Amino acid sequence: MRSIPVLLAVALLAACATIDASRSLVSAEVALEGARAAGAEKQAPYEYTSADLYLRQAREENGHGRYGAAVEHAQQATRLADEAKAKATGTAPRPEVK
Amino acid sequence: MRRPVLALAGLVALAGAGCATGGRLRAQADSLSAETDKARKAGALRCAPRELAAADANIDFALRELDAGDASRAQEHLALAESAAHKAVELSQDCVQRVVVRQPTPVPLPPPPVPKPRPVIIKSTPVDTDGDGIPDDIDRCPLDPEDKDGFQDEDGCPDPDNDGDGIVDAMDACPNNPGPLENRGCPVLDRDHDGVPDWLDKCPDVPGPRENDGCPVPKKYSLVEVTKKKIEIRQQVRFATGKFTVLKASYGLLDQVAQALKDNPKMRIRIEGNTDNVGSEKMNLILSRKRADAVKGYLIKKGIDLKRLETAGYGPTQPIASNKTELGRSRNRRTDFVILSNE
Repeated sequence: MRSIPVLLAVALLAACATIDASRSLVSAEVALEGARAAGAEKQAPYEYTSADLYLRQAREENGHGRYGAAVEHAQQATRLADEAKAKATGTAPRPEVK
Repeated sequence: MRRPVLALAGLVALAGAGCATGGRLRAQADSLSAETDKARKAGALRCAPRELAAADANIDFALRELDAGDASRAQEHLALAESAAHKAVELSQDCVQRVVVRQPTPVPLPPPPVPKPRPVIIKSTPVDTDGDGIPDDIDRCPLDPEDKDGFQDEDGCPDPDNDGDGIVDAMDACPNNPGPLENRGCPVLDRDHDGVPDWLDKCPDVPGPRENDGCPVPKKYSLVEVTKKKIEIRQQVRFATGKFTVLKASYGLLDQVAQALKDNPKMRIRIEGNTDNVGSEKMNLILSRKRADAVKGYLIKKGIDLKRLETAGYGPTQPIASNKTELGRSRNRRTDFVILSNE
């Protein structure tokens, strides 16, 4: 009987982790789609490809139940996708041309 | 007693092997990182961005997996990173082409001096990936060729919609001037500033309300009517008795005559003064002439060009009714506005 609260807490934590990972994955997917729509595939290929790879890795980690790693990779994918989009739309600071 | 010892020895051996594998894979990751750095320096970001991204990402994945103790997955990612890094290095080798230009040897003069070493000048030819004639180092869009349509052709980026009006240049009748789709991408002009764009304005040079297609609404006069031959007046111009001063009561009427002249800017008229037959004919002629002149002066004060106005005093010579009755005489005391021309 005493173990029931502990089990419930563990179940709750696991559910929270799943929700976090799903949310991060959705954010990353949205960011990547935004970057793609802005033409980042061509204009910022390094950042776009990186974001895509991190998102794939995040999905894989999520599939294996490694939610912490999934969240980390998804967040990195979001950052890279945003960077790619900014570069594609010309809002990113341009490197100085010498 | 021997079994636990054997089990312990086995575990230690396994852990040792695991550590050795982990160390080897980390070394491999370091080596690949060095390779990607080399590719980056050679211009892989420009010439092999996807390969470089794949190498960087897979090295990162592998290192995280090694931290988590998953050597087999790390190995898989390192294999992917290795392949991508090699490709990045390979593609970035041609990123900056080098051309060796040898200058001609100077003609030796007798006695031959000590032979000088031939100067070798190495020039680097700028790379132009998209072949638009703008070197990548100053090309804002190194992968997309400049469209060279005379608009911002120096930045290396194609400008599919030069004026940014949302209509692509190929469909835009005015590609360098923004305008709505309804006007085929051309700016909306409104020469008469009446708020009705010229392409909808039936009178583009004369202001008029939208309800009348941009044309002025013809004025409605209550006291005058413009006919083909005359400006007909519905009241008589009134003067002080025996004088030629226009009474204030007739100002409204003459204001409308002036407005009719302004609305018909090419119209020229003759102001004709007429009297009844009471009194001497000579005096009536003079009076009618002076009254016509007084009306002319009023209209000039209202802004009508004097060149458009003639005057004549006919006295009692042109009656339109019988002078035997008071009603007839009052009709004969009149001012006429005869149209001379309106073109």
